[in-house]
Amino acid sequence: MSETKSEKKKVKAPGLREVSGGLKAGKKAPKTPGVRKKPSKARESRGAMYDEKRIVIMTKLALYDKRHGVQDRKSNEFFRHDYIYKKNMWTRLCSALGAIGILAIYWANKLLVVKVDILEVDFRQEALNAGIFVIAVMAIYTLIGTASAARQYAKVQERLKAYFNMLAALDRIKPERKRSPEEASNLYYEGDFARKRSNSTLV
Amino acid sequence: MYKQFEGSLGFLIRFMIGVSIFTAISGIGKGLPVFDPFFKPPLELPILLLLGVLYVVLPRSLSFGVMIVDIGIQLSSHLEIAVIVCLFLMCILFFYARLAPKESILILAALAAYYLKIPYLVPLLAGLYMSITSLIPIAIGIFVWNFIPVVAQLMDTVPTAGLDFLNMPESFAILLPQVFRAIAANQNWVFHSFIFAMVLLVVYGISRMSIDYSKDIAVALGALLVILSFVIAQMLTGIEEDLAALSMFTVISAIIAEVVRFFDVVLDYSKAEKVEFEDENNYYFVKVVPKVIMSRRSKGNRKVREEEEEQESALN
Repeated sequence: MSETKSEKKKVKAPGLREVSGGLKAGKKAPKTPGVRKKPSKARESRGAMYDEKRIVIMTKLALYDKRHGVQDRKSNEFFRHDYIYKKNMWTRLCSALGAIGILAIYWANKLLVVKVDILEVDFRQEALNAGIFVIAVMAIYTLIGTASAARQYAKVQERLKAYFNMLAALDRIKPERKRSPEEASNLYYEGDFARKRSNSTLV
Repeated sequence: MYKQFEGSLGFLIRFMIGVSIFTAISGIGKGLPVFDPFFKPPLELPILLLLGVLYVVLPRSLSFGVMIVDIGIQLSSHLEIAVIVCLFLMCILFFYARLAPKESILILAALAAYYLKIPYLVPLLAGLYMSITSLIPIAIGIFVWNFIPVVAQLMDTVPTAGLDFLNMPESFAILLPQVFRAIAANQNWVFHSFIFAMVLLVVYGISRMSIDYSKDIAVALGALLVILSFVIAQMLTGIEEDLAALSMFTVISAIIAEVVRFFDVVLDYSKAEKVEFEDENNYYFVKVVPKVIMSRRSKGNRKVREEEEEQESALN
């Protein structure tokens, strides 16, 4: 014999406690222990798609990679001393060439305009003066280059430190991942001694 | 739309700047007959385009080197002057432009601004956006601009030995004293450099103060200082300046500086970027648009802003 609708309504699912007197209008049903509230669709979709904090950190990391990453990693391959030495090598060479150019104009003026007799020139003294001038120019530009390269290297190290701090922060934020029922059931290997775990298949 | 095509637009803009620079250089003098086929049709346009591409592709120091070689070729009809000019420019490259490639662009900017009769724009913009050390490239640009007519005059008046290397010492002997005399006689560039330095310092100092509208006040005071300084310089030293034209072009420079500042603050296109990355689940296409810079007096988000600024400044 087929059941009527009113008879069907009376059948209750096992595990659910019936509240005496039924629910009054406007009141929420009391919480049953072991029953978890189903998350809303919006939260569920957000948790599945992305984590805002992770995106912000990953965006900042990507921006750094785009702007400075390649150059900073190349610079970081060197120790500070080697980096400064490499940068100063070209600075010294170019400043030496510039000093030689200035000496060329000085000597052109001396020989062609002032018309100093070339036989009366003390070559040793003039060579010494020229050498001192070139070395002085190289020394000044080495100091300038050292200060500039040291500042650049310090900035590179600062940026890399901030980058790795952000990577660590990213690692601490683990993404929420939906697990299949088989994975979830394999997670717990210990017995539920405190009887707090809910294994209800209805929830 | 600019951000969408940023890469290709940036290449195109730099290419056009390079072509403009080399077009300007190709008109400064007369080269040896050997080089004529390369700077006259039909090879003129391909050579200019190639030089424009080189300007984009090469690092700044090397592109300055290419400009120096081009200048030397353009002045090669008077070899002695070409040698002296190239030596001078190489000294600028070796002693300054190599160490500060970004700021050395102000040398070209100063020359372009002088050509367009708005040189007062350079210290205003340099004070707003660059550091105090941009005094040096501005002074170099002023010096070079003041000596372009001297070089042109020397090319017309001083005889050249041409390719006769045996007689070249004699023409050097005539040329060198005239060059040194011209440097000693022409003091205008010293006054201009001093005035522009003062304007740059004032604009730099005021624009970094913690007051509302600091940048607008800096531009206005900078423009006023330009006019006052030239008036005082004219009274004290007797340098000749058309004050009406000076005032008009200073006001135009201030307006242009304000327009540049307005677009920089409101739209901040230079800092908007697109980045792409992926994790194990998703691909991310993120457009990063920084917020408009707030007035420094607003207290509401100070702590949050300070933390974010520390983080951002470390990564930047």
